[in-house]
Amino acid sequence: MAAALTVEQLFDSVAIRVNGPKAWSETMTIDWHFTDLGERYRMSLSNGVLVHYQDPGPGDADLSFTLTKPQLLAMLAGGGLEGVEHQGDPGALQRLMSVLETPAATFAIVTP
Amino acid sequence: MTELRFEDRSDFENADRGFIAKLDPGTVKSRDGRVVWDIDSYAFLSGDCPDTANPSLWRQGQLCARQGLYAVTDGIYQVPGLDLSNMTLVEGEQGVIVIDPLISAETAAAALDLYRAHRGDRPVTAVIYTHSHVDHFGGVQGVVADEVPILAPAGFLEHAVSENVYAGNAMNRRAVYMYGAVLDRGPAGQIGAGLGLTNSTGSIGLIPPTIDITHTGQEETVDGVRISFQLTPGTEAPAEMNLLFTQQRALCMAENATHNLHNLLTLRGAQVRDPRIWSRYLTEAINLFADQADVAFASHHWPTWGRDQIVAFLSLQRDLYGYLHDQTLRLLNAGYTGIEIAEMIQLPPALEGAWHTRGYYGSVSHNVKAIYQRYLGWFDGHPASLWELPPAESARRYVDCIGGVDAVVAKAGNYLDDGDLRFAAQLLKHAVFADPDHKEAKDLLAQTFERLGHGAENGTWRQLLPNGCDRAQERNRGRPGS
Repeated sequence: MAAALTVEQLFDSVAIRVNGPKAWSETMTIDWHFTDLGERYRMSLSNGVLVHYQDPGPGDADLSFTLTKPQLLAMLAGGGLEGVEHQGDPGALQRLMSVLETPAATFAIVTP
Repeated sequence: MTELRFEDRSDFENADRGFIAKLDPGTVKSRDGRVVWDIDSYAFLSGDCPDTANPSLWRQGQLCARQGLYAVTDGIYQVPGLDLSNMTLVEGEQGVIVIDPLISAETAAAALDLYRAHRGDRPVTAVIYTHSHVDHFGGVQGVVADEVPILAPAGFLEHAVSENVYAGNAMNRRAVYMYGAVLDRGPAGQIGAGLGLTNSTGSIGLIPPTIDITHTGQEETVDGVRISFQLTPGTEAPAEMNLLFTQQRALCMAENATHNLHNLLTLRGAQVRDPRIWSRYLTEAINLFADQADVAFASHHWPTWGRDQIVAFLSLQRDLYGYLHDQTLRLLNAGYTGIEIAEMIQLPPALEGAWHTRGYYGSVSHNVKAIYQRYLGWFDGHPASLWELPPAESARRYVDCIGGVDAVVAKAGNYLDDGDLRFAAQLLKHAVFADPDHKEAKDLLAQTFERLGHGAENGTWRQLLPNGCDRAQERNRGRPGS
């Protein structure tokens, strides 16, 4: 299903996995240039919130990716940065990944 | 828990900035002599916070008690404190444009008269409704005599009438509780709704818009004034817009960024608003307008001056709604229910410590439950919740288990003595539902509500809780607002 999502929906689905309290003290900005879509996005983390928007103005991102949407999907599926063109500090992506949670598919309902 | 910085007086400085004159006396009457607005009745707020109020809400009440005519910037004026909302006046070539003419014709006319007394008898050349809530259009007949252009966001008329129609009777009834219109004002009573003090009670009207704002980037020139619009449907209202006065470098944020955490679901009942889109439109507003504005104002509370201050204010507001949305989803995906998440969620220090993100009108607690409701609905997934008995039926059985109403009241008294007000209220609800005539149970429940209310930082919680006592139920004057 992920392939059917827009870039914004994909970024939203990352945003709702951010562990807020864990991410409070982190800040970072990552730019994304999708060559296949001809679209640019910026995401930034502040106050535990991952904000993203299209067509950013000039700015100094910690990390910039030039990639395709299939490459983004591969990244989100756990693939690394292999073959993805990037500038800046790859550690910024690591820091983002380290505050993401993956919810358990089976959680208790009938017991507390 | 982050300490609140009472020594930071910048909100008071901004609320006082540009002051020109008060309405004196601070009362507005209808044609038949009935008082429809009386801000002088809030004079007690200038005193120190009593034991019967939350100091943070008391402070907000003091700020909301500012009234009169204020200069925002060259050619732009605001009148706060003559209703729940602010009226804004923008001077054009031939006259003056009115933004959001309050709830009642009487208060709107009083605001316009006050403006004219100091700025000359300018005709109203246009009206702008920023969104489809009654405190932003209801008084239009008090400011418009002739036909003038009326600008509003696309969908305004449909939403202005529909939002309160189908469930209107229930919303009106519940709004009486929420807005506390029948509560006495005073240190132990009503001290403001957080968003403003309260609503006026004059005559409400609606003149349909003549110019629809249909898209972001739309520009209009009205009475020689250039305006650029950002459409923000689905934020604080289903039809809402922000606007930039390009020549004056002044940004009107409608009700999308005010000095409180707003409601995602108002306590009178409504459809749940979308914090994701709200947060996104605030990001867009920053990107579109921050470099073109020296002041940002809204239709409630006081303006923010300076680019950096505007960006900081809007960014924190943006983070607030985004954080509540994202964290509620993270936790519901981890299996927690709304009522659990509301207790678990922690705000980051920057959001906890700022004044304008405090829950004076919305609260973190009821907004989190609203987000759960938006995504997952009323059912918490537990089979025992699927087919519960109705309240009176449950109550009878709980009371039976505990050993009768007197025993429940005695137990509730113990919890009350231990300061566990919330559980005391839950127990006593069962007692009153099992035996609605049990005086002791009702009195103790009323006392519990009052104590909870006095501790509440949220204005509508404070008002809603004491309204739970029978004594307020005979009168019915409230009405839904924002």
